[in-house]
Amino acid sequence: MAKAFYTVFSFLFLITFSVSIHYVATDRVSATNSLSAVAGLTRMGSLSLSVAYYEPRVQRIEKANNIIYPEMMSIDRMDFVYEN
Amino acid sequence: MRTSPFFHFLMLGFFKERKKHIGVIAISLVILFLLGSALFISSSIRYSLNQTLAWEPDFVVQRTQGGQKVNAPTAWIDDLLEVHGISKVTPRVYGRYFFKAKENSFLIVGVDFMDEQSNKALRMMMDETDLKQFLKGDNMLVGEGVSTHLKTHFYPNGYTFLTPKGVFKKVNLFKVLPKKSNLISNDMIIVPIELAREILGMGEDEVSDIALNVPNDDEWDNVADKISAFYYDIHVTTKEDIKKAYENLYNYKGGVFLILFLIVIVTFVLILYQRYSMVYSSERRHIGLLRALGWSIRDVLKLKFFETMMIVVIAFVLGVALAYLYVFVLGAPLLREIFLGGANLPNSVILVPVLDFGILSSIFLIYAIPFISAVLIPTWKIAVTDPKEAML
Repeated sequence: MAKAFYTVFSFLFLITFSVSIHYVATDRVSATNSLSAVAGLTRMGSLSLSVAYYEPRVQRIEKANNIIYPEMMSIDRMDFVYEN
Repeated sequence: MRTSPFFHFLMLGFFKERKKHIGVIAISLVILFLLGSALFISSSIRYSLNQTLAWEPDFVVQRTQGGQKVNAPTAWIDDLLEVHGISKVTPRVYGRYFFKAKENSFLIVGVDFMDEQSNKALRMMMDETDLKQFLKGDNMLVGEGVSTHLKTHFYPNGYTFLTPKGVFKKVNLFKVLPKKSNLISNDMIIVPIELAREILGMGEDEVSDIALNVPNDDEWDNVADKISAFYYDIHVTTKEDIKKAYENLYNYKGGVFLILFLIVIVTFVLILYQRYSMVYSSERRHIGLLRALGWSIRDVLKLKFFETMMIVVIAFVLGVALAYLYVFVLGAPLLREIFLGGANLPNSVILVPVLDFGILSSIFLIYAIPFISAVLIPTWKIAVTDPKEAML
């Protein structure tokens, strides 16, 4: 039974080790630079949300608006997601 | 440890009852995986957005009408430049362009490429870009989502925009923005500012809003007051507002995530109840037997503590590791749509691995302490009773 214990915990250690290696080895700088370059170029850092036509795309600026079915308008997802 | 009878007995009990433990580990693993995935995605997005904060303007000045944002006059720029302490006043021109009415849309952003910051950022983004060649004709830089969408609709080299005046405007696709910037640029089309005005149907004396910087942080409040006093229909957004919004992004205050956390907590309470009642029913005899054989209360509690700790550690490590793999290696398919939406262009973002050890340790403690308590409390209650009664 001790063998089973060592096998299970060696497996867990291996998983933790692999995650640590991936975490340390990931190149964060180039990803951050790309984002910063676009933000610097456009002076906009708004998330590229894949939204329907009546949902706001640029946060804190646009507001949800459905002129066709105002009474049928779904609960605004962005209102859920972001604290106003 | 290998020769310890206690350890041997613990292992014997644990692996003999493995079917029972696997069930608990599996349910805990699913909960921890879901919770871990949601927290990993949100912390990664928050981290990436915070990195872009340095490039964002200190203030954004907008014109509002009936609560809606409308285009601001360029004359405001001159008024703003007169305020002491303000630097880098940049007009922003942007808006959504619908590929088909009410279907897919792109975000058109007009950029003044002669502006120092824009020029520097452009060169940082793609060294080989020849700015002169780019400015020579009507060219655009597009995000990966736009590029894919145009290609699938047979526009591999450019697109002919229909302006609000009914005029067709052909724009060449000059370059696709790097995939690593998809988080903010997936549906973006960057064009020279004049071209953006033409496509969006804006007048030469109009801008979407005005961005400006105030280098001295101490003057921010003062400058915000001064700007607000200029016009009655002015709205000022500060970088602090944006920072606050990023901090609160996808946290427990958001409705969807509040629901997620509530579901997780309710499921977890059910697991705890199951453990609690299991100890009372099926393990009652076992604990009584151990006590009758001369085990002290302390030994019984120690045995149950280590047994539960093993379950907790296995479930936690596997749950968190699977969440990490799912989010940062596989890119969180399906779940990322909850965060970024899926109604417009598909967005395959690269999520930068971010491990918030504060959150991880909180999850562990929130999971481990009630779980261990749900086993140890009934165990102690049974262990302190007479073994004869316990075995009945």
